[in-house]
Amino acid sequence: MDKSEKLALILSMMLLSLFFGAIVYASMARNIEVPTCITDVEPFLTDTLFQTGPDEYELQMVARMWAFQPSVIRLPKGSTLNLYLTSQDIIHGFKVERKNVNLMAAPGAINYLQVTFDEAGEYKFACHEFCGAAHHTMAGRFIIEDDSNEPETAE
Amino acid sequence: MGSDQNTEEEFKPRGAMAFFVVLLLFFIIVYFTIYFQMLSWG
Repeated sequence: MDKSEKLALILSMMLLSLFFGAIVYASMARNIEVPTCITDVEPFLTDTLFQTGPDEYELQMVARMWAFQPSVIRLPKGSTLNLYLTSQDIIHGFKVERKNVNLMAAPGAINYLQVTFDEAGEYKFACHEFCGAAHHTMAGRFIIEDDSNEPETAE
Repeated sequence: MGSDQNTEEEFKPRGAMAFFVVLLLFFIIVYFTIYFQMLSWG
């Protein structure tokens, strides 16, 4: 093999290792969660939000053509949300603005991610996997409130 | 024929190497810009 080709291959492998190492570092040292797919349970078909601890909530969200259930979620500031997402029909996407949340909603599987809302405000989310005629209307929002109101959801 | 062989032996693809290095730097900048942005979002 030519010396230049060898050098290019080595540099490319080093770069890929650096990128992979950065992901491992974020996951282990910075405690950034990566999405987890749970396949060995029956998917839920109704949405639920409940408190599991101080400042900790669990949301079971269902995606379907062309809405998320629930689509409006109110939580107090500082909440840690354990998000479980599935789909009732076809594959959908789930992306929350200004947060490191990017999931797929697949029928027959549940995708899990933990996210903490440290700042009050509105965080819109939308389907980012084309799912049909009204895909562009498939959206919702998290409303994070300063005062410690009871969490609630709305269609 | 002899001079052709010499030319081939001396040839170094400097332009391609420079382009490759710039390409790697570009990928590093793009990757870590998004990486640190995502880390700050938590």
